[in-house]
Amino acid sequence: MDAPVLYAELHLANTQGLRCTSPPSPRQDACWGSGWHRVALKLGCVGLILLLMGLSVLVGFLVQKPPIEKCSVAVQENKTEPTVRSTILECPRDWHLHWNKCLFISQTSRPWAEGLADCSLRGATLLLIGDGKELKLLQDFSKGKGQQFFIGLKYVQEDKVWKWMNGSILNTNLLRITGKNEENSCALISHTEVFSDSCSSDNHWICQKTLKRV
Amino acid sequence: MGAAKIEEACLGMLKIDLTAADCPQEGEMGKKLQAKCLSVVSPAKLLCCYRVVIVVLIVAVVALSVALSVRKEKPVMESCEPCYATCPSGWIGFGSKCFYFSEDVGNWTFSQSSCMALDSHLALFDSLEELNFLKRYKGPSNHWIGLHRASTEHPWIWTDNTKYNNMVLTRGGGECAYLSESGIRSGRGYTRRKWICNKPNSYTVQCPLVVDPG
Repeated sequence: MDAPVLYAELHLANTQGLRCTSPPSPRQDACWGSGWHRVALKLGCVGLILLLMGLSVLVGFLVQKPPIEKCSVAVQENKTEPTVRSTILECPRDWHLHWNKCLFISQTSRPWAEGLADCSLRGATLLLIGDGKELKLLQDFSKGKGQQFFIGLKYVQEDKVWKWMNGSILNTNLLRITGKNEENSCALISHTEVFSDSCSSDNHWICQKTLKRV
Repeated sequence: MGAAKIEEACLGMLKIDLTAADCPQEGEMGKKLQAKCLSVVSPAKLLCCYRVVIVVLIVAVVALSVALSVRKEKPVMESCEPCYATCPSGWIGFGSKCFYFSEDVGNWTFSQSSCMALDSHLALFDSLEELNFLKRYKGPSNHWIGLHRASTEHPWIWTDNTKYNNMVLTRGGGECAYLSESGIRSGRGYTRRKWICNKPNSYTVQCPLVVDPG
């Protein structure tokens, strides 16, 4: 009974002594390890943050879809010139005062003969051009329309001349026709030239009537 | 105080040794030792966790990089589910085509050259729906399209030299066709009109195999 107790005490005391002498070195190791660990932790955190940023950027690239281009249609605006009114001379509604005439611009395209008939119904004739100055003004007028217009000038195959609807023969010094001089040819005015087109083509037209005193 | 801590540490170590050597079955001491073991082992586990997380993130980033490069290298040709039909700015889409309505005017040849400069050609239509769409969007002006013939005695052909199937009758006495509000008309090619270009939309370009032949 006494012998075992004595042995135990002796063993414990011996072990305590050994451990007491060794603590300083573990502390030093711990200090050294602790410093290293801190640096490693910081680097690890930085690395993780960089990885996360890279990941989010890549995911963004993958998820990104090409943008759909929006289609747009340019709306064509019909610019109608304001009617110039005077107390003495006046044009009817929807007609334009121009020079000394009232002009009507058709809203549809039809063959030349139908344009002629339409003007007749309106108490007018297809446009007649008297001189170069009037031609220039009319071409400037048609510039904003983006169109060509039949006028009252047609090729007469029998006489081989261009004739106005009032019966007079075209003075080629006044106005030059671009294109074919052949049967079934009618004159089209554009903002740069006067063309010969087929009379059976559809085109807009211009009617004219003289000014009336109101 | 320091001595007390040192003593506790020594005792702890001593107890561990005892357990390993002689006392595996003591309940109370066993629990305490387990707790200490866990606390002792947890740094290693944490380190393992960190390593696993870092490895996973690196693998994810690499995989995403590869996926992105592969996607860029092969523009989706096999599966076009996410593709959208788009038209360039200023063009309008209808069906599998994009259409451009000009603001300028020119003769038929100039119009075709202008379309070719935009990597397209004067408009062709394949159906009445398409034709009606063009008539609706063209506004009041007449527009050249891609139909032409050598003379009034020759058959109509498209700009790609295919023969016109007379889906819609043409009227007029010219060699070049244009679109008016009444339908397809013809005039002389040297006259000035606006024009319509067309080209396939981006979906059709990207997925030529998937294009519906109907």
